[in-house]
Order: sequence, then C-alpha cells, then structure tokens
Amino acid sequence: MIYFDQAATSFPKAPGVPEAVCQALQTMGNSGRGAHHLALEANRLVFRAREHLAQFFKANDPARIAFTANATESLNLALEGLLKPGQHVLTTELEHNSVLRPLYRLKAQGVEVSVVPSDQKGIPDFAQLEQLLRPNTKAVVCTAASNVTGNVTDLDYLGDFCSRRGLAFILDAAQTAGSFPLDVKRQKIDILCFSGHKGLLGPQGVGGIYLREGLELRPLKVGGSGMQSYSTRHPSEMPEALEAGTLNTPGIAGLLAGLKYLNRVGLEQIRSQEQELTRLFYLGAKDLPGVKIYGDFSTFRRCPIVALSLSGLDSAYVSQVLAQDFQIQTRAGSHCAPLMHRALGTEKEGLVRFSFSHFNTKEEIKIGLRALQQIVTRKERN
Amino acid sequence: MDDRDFELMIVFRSTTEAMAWEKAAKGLDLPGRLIPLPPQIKADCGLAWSATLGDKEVIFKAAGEYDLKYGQILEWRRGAWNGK
Repeated sequence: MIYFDQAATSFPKAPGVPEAVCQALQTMGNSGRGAHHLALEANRLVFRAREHLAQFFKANDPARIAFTANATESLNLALEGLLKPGQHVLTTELEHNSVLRPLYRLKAQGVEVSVVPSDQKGIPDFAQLEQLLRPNTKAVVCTAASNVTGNVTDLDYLGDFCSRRGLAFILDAAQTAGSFPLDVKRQKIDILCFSGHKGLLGPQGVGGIYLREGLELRPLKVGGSGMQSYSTRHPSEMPEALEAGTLNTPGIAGLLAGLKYLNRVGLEQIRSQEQELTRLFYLGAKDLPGVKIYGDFSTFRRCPIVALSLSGLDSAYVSQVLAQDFQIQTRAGSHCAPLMHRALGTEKEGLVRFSFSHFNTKEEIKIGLRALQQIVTRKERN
Repeated sequence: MDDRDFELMIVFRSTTEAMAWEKAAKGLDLPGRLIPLPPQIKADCGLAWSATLGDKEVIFKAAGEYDLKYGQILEWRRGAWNGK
C-alpha cells in the first residue's frame, strides 16, 4: 500500500508516537484533576507539550497554548469567540469549511463577511484586501496553505497588513505546521489554529490554539476545569480559560512525541524531502495526456500536494482505480474547500489530490506515476 | 508558636502556572514541593508549593528574579487543615 493522502492525516506517525500514547494510557491520570502522582504526571506532560508548542511557534509563554480536539474546533473557537454581530471579517477563497462554515453561521447572526477572490491558479488577490476593508473590520482569517492546491500564503504580507490596521490575524495552520516554520511574533499572528495529526505527526483527536497575550476569546465550552470549583464562572486564566472538560492526555502525549521527532529531524530537512518528492511527481505527471494539474508550480516552496484532473474522468473514479488496482491511497472530490474548487472550475468532477510526506519515497512516487500513466493509457484505448 | 509551626504556601491561579513554577523551581533547586491545596483556600487550582518559612527569602528572591508567576503566598499554620 502506498499512502498519498498525507494532507488528510499523516501516515505513518512519527517514531515514538504510538508508544507515547500507550505510555500515557498506562501511567497517567487526569491532568488538572488532583494532586496525586498520576494526575501530576499528566499535568507535567501536558505542560511540556505546551512548552514545545510555544517554542515551535516562537511564542513567549506556554500558557498561551490551549488544547482542542482539532483545527476545526480551534477555528470555531477563534471565530465564534472573537467576532460579534455588526463586525466585519475578511477571508479568502482558499479556505476549508473549518473556516467557511463558522463564518456562514456568524453571517446569519449579523457578522459581515468578505471573501478575497483568487485566480485560476488558486492565488488569492491580496491587492483587494485594502478595497474590501470597512470601518467595522475586525479580523482577517486565512489558511497558511490551500489544502487543494498546496499553494502557500504570504503570511508576512498578511501579518503586516493586519498589524498596520489593528486587525486580528487568525491563521489556519493545519496544512503547514510541521513543514514550514511559523513565528507568531515575526509574522504578527494573533491567533494560530493547528491540528496535531497532520504535519505535526501526532494522533488524531488533538489540536490546539495559540492566543496572543492581551487578546481574549469567549470560550466555546465551559465546565470542569479542576480550578475554582465554587465559582459560577469558568476560569479566565489561560490556557484553562479555553479548555473545559478532560484533556486528551494520551493524544497530547503522542503530539509531544511528534514534536520531538520534528525537532530532531528539522523542518528544513523535512520540507526539502517533501518538496523533492512533489517536484518529481509534478514533473512526471504534468505532460501525461489529459492530465491537468492545478495550483501555482512556478515555485516549489509549496505544500507537498499535487491536485490533478484526468480529462473526461470523474475524480472519484480515478481515486478508486488507484486504490483498487494499484493500492495507492489518494483523496478525490472537493476536499471541503468549495470556494477553491469554484475558483479553479473543478466543482463538477473534483480533483484527485496526491499529498506526500517525507516518509514517502522516490520509489513510491515512481510507482504512482506509472499507475497514473496506465490509467491514462486505458482511457485512451477506450 | 514559632516559625517551625508555619509553612510557606505558594498558591497558583491555574494548573499551568503550578507546572511552570514546579519546573522552574526544580531547575533553580528551590526548596519545597507541590502539595494538594488545603480546602479552606477556595480560589485555587488545587495545587500549592509548600516550603518552610525559613525558605521565604530565597523563594521571594527567585520569584522576582526569574519572573515566576503565582497567585499568592501565604504563611499557613501546620496542621491547620484536616480539621486539626
């Protein structure tokens, strides 16, 4: 089996991740609940994970990192927690439904939403940001990279744009955390939402949010915190202010193991390998008859994603043939990014997305290309 | 009663604050240990750093010097909890 669906979730996980999850299950209690040995071990592990994440995103204070179940929960928390009816928010056509659906719901409640359009390569026209600004604009929310095309966003530009105008910059880092370095201070990111199971190589069910000091969010959930039990209000201290209920300590343990692995190997090395695999695949696929590749390949400073269509074939069919006949796992369809597909003109048939990680090999890329070639040949014969 | 009848109790506003203190205290070799907070103290995360009153000065100095965060520092009479 060859796994080319790394943008959905990483597989395999980093060495040490399954062991860390098992160890947490076998040796730890409930973080923040009590002062006995097992609870304290869980507390310490969760704190170490916050420290690692703060260092990873160049944040000063581990207390500004709160854990959630996934990037979607973090984005819901950021958007629902920050925006109020009557305020205006800017976003882009690149966004995943984890951004769009909370925004549509907020729109129904009176939040104004403007969308920056993108061209046929999926590049957003940030020159329009200025024109879309309104006196009540509160924030810009944007993905760090399209999960469809793999194009990366110019975060320095966006951070600067927001900072100069006093707007909150909310970043969906689900696709780039673990491949591209993120620096919340330098890139002026106010809220960073991340997933633990993609580039960070941890288990599913754990994600998180970084919240800049001085910024507050209305929590999505309130309840048990292990703190101030007699208060009728949920604690306001970060990070517990955004964490109600028992944390996913085994998941956090796995995420910590993933982070340690990334720190050992280095993002530059990982990115370099991923980009080499992407380049190989792109160069081998782009001239196959009937194949059309989407996205901006003028640079390989991009996420390791190649999304393509085969003329006349539905993406789900191609993906199914790849899985059944060649044991190659890809993702077909619309990838929860409806506006991106609309902009690319691929709403009807969708795209087949190949997404790689540094755990993939050049040999696997060659097998993938041969499979694609065979599907093209079969199509031509028919 | 003298100083030996009292202990120093550093109370934290959150579990994360307690963990940050414990890590720094271990690194700085500060005296004391994490204990469950006496139930009479309500505004808490359930954890406190307990040390002897004689360690007060060194702990205050380190907290200031290294910007260690905490809720409050109490002098607590030994045995004042558990109804004794």
